[in-house]
Amino acid sequence: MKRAALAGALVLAALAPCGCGLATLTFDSTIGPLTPAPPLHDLTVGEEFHVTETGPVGTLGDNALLRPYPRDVIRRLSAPSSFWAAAQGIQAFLTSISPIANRTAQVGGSTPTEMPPELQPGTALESALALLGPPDLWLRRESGSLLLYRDASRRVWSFYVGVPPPAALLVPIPFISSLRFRYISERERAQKLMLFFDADDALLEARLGVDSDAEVQ
Amino acid sequence: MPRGALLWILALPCAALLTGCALGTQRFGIPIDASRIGAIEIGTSTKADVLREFGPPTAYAALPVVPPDPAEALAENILAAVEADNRVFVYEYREDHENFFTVILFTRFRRQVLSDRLMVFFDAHDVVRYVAFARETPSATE
Repeated sequence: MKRAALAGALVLAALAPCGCGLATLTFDSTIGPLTPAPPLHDLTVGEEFHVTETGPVGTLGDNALLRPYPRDVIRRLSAPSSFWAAAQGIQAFLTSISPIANRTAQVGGSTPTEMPPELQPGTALESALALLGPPDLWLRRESGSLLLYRDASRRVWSFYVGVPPPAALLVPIPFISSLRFRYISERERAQKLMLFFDADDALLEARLGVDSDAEVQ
Repeated sequence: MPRGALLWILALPCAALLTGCALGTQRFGIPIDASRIGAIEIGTSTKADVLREFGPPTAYAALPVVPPDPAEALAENILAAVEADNRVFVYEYREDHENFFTVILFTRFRRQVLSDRLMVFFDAHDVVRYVAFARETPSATE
């Protein structure tokens, strides 16, 4: 009985990564049509995905429901939005139990790292907009305007010695979650370009700034 | 073969399967066709021309105006008049790239948010005053 259970678990473990994998797609496009088996990709990840050169693509949609259980709950379970939400949850859980984790996030990427030579005092607002694009912030006053361009990045390193709290729930030893050492290094940086214009929309001054590393440990 | 060795032989491939990676991109909005921006002429094109070229905007807003004397501006309704002179159509297309990799002992997660934005500013007569466009996404119109 144990051997059968072990064999079953191994078969399930082998099938689990087949959802969108190369083996599944290869099977569906080569041997699949010759066999009575249905397309494995549709079977495992649902029919609302389609495969492109960059991978499976699906429309997540944004139809919020004012009821906890929709009438078509079975169909919705195989919808792309459910897979995406499940993937997010699995990623968050695995990151939380991982002893060493590195997370980085970057928003934007169009703010110049060096002052563009075209930005000289007297440059027209129209030229600055054509050069740099839409600003993240634009404040207008009677006496002039302020334009702000900004990119932000965040990096977090976390290190655990001991059993991480989510994993400790699975270990039946009292106070096991308390016996741990945790180190977190967090860095946030922002790159900013500020442009000051006078009442006639001519550039007065441009300032480029990069935050020094602000670390929280 | 001893039972312990057999278990290890079975366990090692299972442990190898505990690695995983996920690559995903969420896309919001419709890619902006930059080749059509040339059709907008500053001082000539109107709000209707912009709507015809690009369709409904993602947002229709007014620039935040800071009056020199807020109390006086409110009393004389100056703020509303100035904001009417600073209306803007915002078209935005955003890509949210996520890379995830784990071997259980080590996990790496990377997120990058890139957006293409087109802003068209109008004067009080709904004529285009400024146009600004920036592209950050690598594959918006491919």
